Amino acid sequence: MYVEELHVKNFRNYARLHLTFSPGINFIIGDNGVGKSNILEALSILSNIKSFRNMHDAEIIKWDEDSYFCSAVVGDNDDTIFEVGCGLTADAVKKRLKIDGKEINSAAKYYGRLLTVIFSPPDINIINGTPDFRRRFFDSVISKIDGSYLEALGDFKRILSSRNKLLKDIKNTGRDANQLDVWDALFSEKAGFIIGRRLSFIAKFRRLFQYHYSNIAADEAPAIRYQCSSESDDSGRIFQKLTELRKRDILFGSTSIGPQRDDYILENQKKIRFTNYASQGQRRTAAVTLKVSECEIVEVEKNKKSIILMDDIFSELDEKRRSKIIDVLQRGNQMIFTMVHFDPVALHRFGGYKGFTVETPGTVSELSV
Amino acid sequence: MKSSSYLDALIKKFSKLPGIGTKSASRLAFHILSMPTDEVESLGRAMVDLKKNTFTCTICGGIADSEVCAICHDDARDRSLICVVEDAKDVLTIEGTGEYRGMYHVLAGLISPLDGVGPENLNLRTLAQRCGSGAVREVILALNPSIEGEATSLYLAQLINPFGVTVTRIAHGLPVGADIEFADNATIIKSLEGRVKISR
Ligand SMILES: Nc1ncnc2c1ncn2[C@@H]1O[C@H](COP(=O)(O)OP(=O)(O)OP(=O)(O)O)[C@@H](O)[C@H]1O
Ligand SMILES: [Mg+2]
Ligand SMILES: [Zn+2]
Repeated sequence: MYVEELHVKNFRNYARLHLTFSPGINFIIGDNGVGKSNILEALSILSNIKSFRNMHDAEIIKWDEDSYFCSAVVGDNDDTIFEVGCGLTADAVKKRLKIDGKEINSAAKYYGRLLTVIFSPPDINIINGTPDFRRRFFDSVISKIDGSYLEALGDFKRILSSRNKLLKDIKNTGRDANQLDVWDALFSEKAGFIIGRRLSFIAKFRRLFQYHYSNIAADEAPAIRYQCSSESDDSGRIFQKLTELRKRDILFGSTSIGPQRDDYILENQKKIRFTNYASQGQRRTAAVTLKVSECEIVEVEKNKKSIILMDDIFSELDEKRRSKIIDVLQRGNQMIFTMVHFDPVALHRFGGYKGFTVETPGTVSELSV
Repeated sequence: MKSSSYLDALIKKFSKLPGIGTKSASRLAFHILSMPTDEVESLGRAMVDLKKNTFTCTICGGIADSEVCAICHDDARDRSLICVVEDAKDVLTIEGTGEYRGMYHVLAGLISPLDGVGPENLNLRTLAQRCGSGAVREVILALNPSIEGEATSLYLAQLINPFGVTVTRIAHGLPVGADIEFADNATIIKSLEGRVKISR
């Protein structure tokens, strides 16, 4: 699929913006701070509801305004119109999602329809950061492929916070510990489902990851393994473990096992963790490879090509790796790059492309090529 | 600034009601202004009467004119069947279908740790008594399919099973997250008919 048109209103430093993209390759070029990434951010919100920069919606609204709006016309077999509007009220931020003019009131029904994969400098956190960066990355990919997974995650979060609140109440206010029984039952059922989906996903994903890593880097590709705090995806076993750990959980006021504690481990054949030996460039390569593999697995599972958004990523990789990545990605996907300099080395690899320059902040003009 | 302080006051009162914004509030206030005085008086009286003269039924926890509600009084109803609902509004909704002939039990809430609500805050004592009386054959759980609804259903199944009473739950032909309150008659009837047994 590809974005044909993007409209934004009161979004970051844009009062209004209307862009028409090429279904092939697009470059957005301009100095630091002029608003290049903001354009990709609008596309990522239209795709993922949330921003890839993980900001609060209130910060995205243009200063001194109280709402933003963005929409995209996306070509696939048919044209589909995606719209996200966000407004501030006295005490809350309200978001509205629409597909083809019809309001969508659940994230699970919206997410996974406009498929994008974003490559951006913070991707390195998936490799270097705490386990929640990795869980968030894999959860977002699995959810694209499987709407029931996203729904289960939502239910699970509520069950987990209910259970944790109850654990604290048992400790602090002397509530009856038997009240945990029903929450343990609900918890283990949802946890089992989520872990099961993660395990079968990672079995497919790790092969793609290793393949692409060796292809891009020509050194030993790390393996990815799911580290499971409950040691099983069987609901009965998880329930039993929760019962065994109940005293401890009450003491700490939190749940010690479950998908919220699990991690994805990258390691070499000697079982040494990737982050304990890999160089800066190798980590960067691993982060990029995660995204390349995401593109491919989404394409295989959904039979649709994602729109590739590249936020300034090229400046950080050597020429050999750059061209390898472009080779893997250039299979007919639409691509939108941002960069500070018009980079002839990178550009000559592409046949036709469309360029945009952002000059004075917030004004975009089309390059004639 | 409104032209009349009385008008202003009523609009403010109306807009505090659920589902009523300032626009509808002023529409209602102007409508009341246009009504004959005796109509307005009887409307006001109906509201005060409702508040002053109703009780919580000592058997089912529903709304009643005296200690026991009309449904619990009605000898023609099937006393071996109890339908458990979250609040008294749900009784009205299910009665609206005209299909259900059993009794009710109103919990007045759902188990919700995040809101600090535990089983001890629900109307459960009389439910246990009713189930232990020997007259009840089946308890139908008609709670919303939210996490709290699920947790409450599981809890009730554990509470009621020891009495040798069959526990069933309505089939959720209701879309996930949908309240019974907003379902149409046909959907409610279908979900009552398609109820499934809970074994745990
Ligand atoms: N809510 C907002 N309202 C108005 N302007 C904003 C808002 N949020 C950010 N900006 C402006 O947007 C600009 C940053 O835009 P963006 O991140 O797209 O820059 P960029 O072109 O990608 O820069 P770089 O090359 O450094 O990555 C900043 O100048 C900032 O002042
Ligand atoms: Mg940028
Ligand atoms: Zn009654």
